[in-house]
Amino acid sequence: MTLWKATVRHYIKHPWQILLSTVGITLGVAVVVAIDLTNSSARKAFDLSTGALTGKATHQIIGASNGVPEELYFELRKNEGVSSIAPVLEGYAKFQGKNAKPEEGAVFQVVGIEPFAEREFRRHLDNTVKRLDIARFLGEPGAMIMARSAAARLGIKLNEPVNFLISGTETTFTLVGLIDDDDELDALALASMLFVDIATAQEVLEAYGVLSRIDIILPDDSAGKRLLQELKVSLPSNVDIVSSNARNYALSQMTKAFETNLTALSLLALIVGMFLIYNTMTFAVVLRRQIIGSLRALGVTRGEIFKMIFAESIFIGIWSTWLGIFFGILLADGLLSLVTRTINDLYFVLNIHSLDISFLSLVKGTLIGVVATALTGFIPAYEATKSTPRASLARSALEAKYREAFLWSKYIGGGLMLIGALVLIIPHNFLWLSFAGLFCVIGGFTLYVPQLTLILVNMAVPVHNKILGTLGNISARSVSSSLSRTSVAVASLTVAIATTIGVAVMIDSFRGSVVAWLDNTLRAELFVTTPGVNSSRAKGNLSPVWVERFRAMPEIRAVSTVRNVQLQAPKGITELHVLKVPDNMFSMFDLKQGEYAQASQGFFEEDGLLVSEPYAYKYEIDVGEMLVLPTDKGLRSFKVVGVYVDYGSDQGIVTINRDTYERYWDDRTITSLGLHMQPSVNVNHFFDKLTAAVRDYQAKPLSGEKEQDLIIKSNLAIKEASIRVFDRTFVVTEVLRLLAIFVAFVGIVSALMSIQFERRAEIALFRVLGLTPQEVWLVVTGETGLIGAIAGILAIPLGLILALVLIFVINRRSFGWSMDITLDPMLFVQSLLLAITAAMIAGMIPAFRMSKSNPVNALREE
Amino acid sequence: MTHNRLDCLRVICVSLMLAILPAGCGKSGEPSSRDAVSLAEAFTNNTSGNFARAFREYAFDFPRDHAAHPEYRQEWWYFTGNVQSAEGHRFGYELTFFRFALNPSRQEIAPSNFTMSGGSGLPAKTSAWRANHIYMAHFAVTDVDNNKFYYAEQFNRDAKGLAGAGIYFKDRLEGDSTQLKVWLNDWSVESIGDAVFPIQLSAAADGFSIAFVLNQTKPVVLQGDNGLSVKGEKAGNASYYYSITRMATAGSIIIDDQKESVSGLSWFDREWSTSQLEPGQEGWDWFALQLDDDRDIVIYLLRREDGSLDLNNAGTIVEKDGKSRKLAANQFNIEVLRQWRSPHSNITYPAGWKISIPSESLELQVTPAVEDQELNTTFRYWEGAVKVSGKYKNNNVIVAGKGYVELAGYDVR
Repeated sequence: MTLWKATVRHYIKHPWQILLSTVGITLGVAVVVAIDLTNSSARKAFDLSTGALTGKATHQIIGASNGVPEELYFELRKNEGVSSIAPVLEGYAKFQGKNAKPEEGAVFQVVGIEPFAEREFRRHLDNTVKRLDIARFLGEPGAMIMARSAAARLGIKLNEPVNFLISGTETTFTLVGLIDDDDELDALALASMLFVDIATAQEVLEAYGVLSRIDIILPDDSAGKRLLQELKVSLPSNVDIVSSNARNYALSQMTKAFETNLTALSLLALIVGMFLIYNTMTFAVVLRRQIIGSLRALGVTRGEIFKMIFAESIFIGIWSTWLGIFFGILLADGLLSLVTRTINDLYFVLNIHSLDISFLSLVKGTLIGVVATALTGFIPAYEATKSTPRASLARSALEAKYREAFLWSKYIGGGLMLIGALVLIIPHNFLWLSFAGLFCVIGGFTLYVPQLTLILVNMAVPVHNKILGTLGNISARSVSSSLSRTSVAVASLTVAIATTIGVAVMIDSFRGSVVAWLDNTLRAELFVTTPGVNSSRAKGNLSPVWVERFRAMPEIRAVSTVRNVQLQAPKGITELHVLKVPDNMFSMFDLKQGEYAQASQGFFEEDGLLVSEPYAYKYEIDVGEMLVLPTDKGLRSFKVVGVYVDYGSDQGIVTINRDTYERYWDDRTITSLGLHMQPSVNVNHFFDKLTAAVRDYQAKPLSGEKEQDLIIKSNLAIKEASIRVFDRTFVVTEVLRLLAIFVAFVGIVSALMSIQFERRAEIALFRVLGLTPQEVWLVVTGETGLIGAIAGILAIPLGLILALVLIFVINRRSFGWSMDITLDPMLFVQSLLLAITAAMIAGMIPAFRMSKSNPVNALREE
Repeated sequence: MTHNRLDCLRVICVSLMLAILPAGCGKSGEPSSRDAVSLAEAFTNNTSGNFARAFREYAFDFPRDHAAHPEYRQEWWYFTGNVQSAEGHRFGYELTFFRFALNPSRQEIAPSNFTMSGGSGLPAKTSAWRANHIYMAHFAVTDVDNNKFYYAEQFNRDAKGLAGAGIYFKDRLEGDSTQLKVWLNDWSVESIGDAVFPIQLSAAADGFSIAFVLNQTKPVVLQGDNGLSVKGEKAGNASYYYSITRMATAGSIIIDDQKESVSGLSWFDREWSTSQLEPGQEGWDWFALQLDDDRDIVIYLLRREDGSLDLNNAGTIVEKDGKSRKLAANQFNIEVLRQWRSPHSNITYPAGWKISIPSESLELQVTPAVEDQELNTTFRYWEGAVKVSGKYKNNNVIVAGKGYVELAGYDVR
């Protein structure tokens, strides 16, 4: 009981200590919880919305390239065994709010349904749509229904026309019914969907005669299995029947690597947070050396002391973990929009408006927080017990012990780094293990920090001496004299700065590689597409008329065509790029595998495929192997003739020559065109001419039909847009990195405060000996500046190691991308400056306090 | 009759808007989870828009008029009948197709209502799924001897061959050809040969199905004033209405995989209109009776909210040779003998009548063949096979017969 009283007294006397310990764990836990909540919210929203879309369909009939011809639906209706069957046509529409700027509009999934066939499929529609004016739903083109909460959020009222952008065309919908989604889960599931009649869907999406898929419910018995077999055999070769679960699973896997990376970054923040709690707990012990020594002298056992200190840290851990969870939820709210945007940019349409606070995430956060405090609290508690009653009063004894510990910390550090390196070098497919390896390397490195600090201090002494004279000597030496404290501060700052460097180098290298790839790939001067919903979403189809028109223009040397198709290949969902480029432009592929001439010949003449690096990595395909794709003539295998660099999709891309494609698929659509200019043509002038020509065509439409809207972009504009998406993707990473720095900063403040607190007597002595407050300032900031400099210097090699691991291991194992390293020397200068500045600012508070304190008081205490 | 059936259509049309697609298929005895549709709502919020209306008498032209009249808002093809097997196993059946227009006709729609903006007004092309009519069908079988009632409901759109009604010639729509086909999904009424009759009825639902061939044995009877059934004061509040009151029927009924060959008589009612009823009418009772002496009687009774006699109540007697006589509201009297309370909806329906037609010297007792013939479909009503017994010419002749009765609008009580 006395022990507890002593503890409580202590913290009442030093409230800021609780604050600092709390801040460390709170921040660490907050970041981890925030990322976990964000990820789980996104995943849940995804699961729910795919669930709502899939409904009770056990299987889906999907097309090879161009969707499913609607006639198949009518054919299947005649099959007596198939009792539950419904057509679905899906597309995307971007909400054009009254004030919203076009790029800010939420993207919705337009789901075209056949209400009469539908009722067995979608619970939401069956049970929650009350008072639907079915006559209007079917009878009015553009009639739609959506969830009540979604309508309320967008401010859409019943019977009010609202504009959406579909393939660049403004399309007016009228809300004729509301789906009740009082249940939060329903609201989440339906948040990004609007339902229209299948006729409306075909009209607004301009997908006449086509369905996205046919939903089907097969009974889970032998009859159902028989029917499935029968359908598999009897369905035309250009469609396939797949289980809904398998398809949804494949979709959900798309974001997995992205989520893992975010989680790993959040753990990094926690590690920095752990340094912090170690720091403050140690400090708590330091401050009470006298009390602990006295207690020991009075007969309190080591076990009791350990229990006291350990319980203290656990208590602080639990309390700060709770706080951390609270802040984590706040933070997650902010992160959610960033993460959602990236998911929308790169993967699929998902509107998440509210955080889903899952109990599991909170339990995870609590566990992580408490375990982290227990781990870090263990060391100071042990430290407190290890000293003899008398010696624990002496600061020097502690330092001496600490230096002894270097010896074995070297070996542990070396071992850790070795294990980490092995885990990173040996190829495997466990992303988590790779991150564990990375953490081993970081941890190992930090164990070397005390030694490296000593070395660097010794190197710095002459410099300090020169600049500040004797005072400089004092401030430099004080770093090494209280090494047990300073090295932790240095280590945490090092890790934080190294993270900054590593992530920045990775992003820079990534960006550089993407730019180089874009430069190499975007060979045409101008690109023509129809307006799509956003950068990665399905574009409209380009009328082939345009190809002929462009070919006829004298300025245009060649026209290349692109068609993007999503196939449900046996290996998984496969993005197929159908490319027609002039033969001499094969060098647009930067081959990572495969011999250039052979690949070119194979691609153009032998039905060969090129696969992008992520695809090859994900599905473990090498050059020379066969890849099976569902063609309109059934499954066919194609030879892979090359693996090329592509950063366009982390899911991987398979590229096929258009001539090959047209032999196996009946699809003749074009998604976009590349216009290659004659060398003498001024592209800017031609751009204007082309735009005018297109406008002319649109003013005088052929055959009375409305001419398509075209988007013409220079390769420069496309490059800029791509880079913009790229940068946006890394905003979350950037935020996490800043948080890590912030945690480190708080760590530095607390470490330095504890150091300076311990040195109160020393400083007081200086003051008595005649040092002015200004000179005290110099000593203290000189010391903290040195700590910052050392951390900054040590962070450079660690940051580089981190960058290498991120680039060559993590990115590769997450996405299959390889990239060239781009190093910007300014980055290192910046990091160094950042470290020094952070440390100097952190030193301000203790410096200020010490220069203002009355030396007599401090001396009297001693 | 005119008004009643049209009300029925109207109510169904409205109820479609009120409650989307309830569980439409079920055996008698399954409780309905659906909200009842109030008739009162049927009388409100309605516009005739740009639909054609029945203003004056009309020169009927058969078989053309068997086909759909899309310029009118609503229309129906209504088959009922009583059949029995060689062993005397008795059944009743109902197979009805309703058409509801969604919009008058496309060119008359004000474009501003649903413009695809971007300048071009309506979409450049129209989806093949774009329908202008919804079809609804009810199919019911009464197993008289086992005291069972089965019914089902389906909907679909008039597009892509999902539902429709027309006169066809070798699968081509032609004005002067002679084959009639009315269908919704796999339920259909379809001429077998080059003429409208013989015509095949086939429908299958969960656990019960029919396949009948019908042969016309009496000519078309135009109801009302030469087929114009005036229903209100206002001009155009009327429908076109005709019946074929007797058709020889043979075929098979399957209930729970038990197939029975049956024969008997059917009744066919056709009606199309645009305008709706006037307020004040709550529901109706409709009687279609086929007597053993080859006379057919139709009587409809409008029930007014205030309980007063509706002067539009009327009837028709069709003689053996097909000649028909109108019965005015004051020429018959109907007395309810007993009542039955539905366990599904808790609605109390009349379940036995005495119909006196003094001018014809007829006094008939009409009794439901099975009490529970309530259809808990989108629009809830009682429609069932009935037995007829009675006296003719002051008790000198005993008459008997079968028929069908429809009781609608009892929900409101």
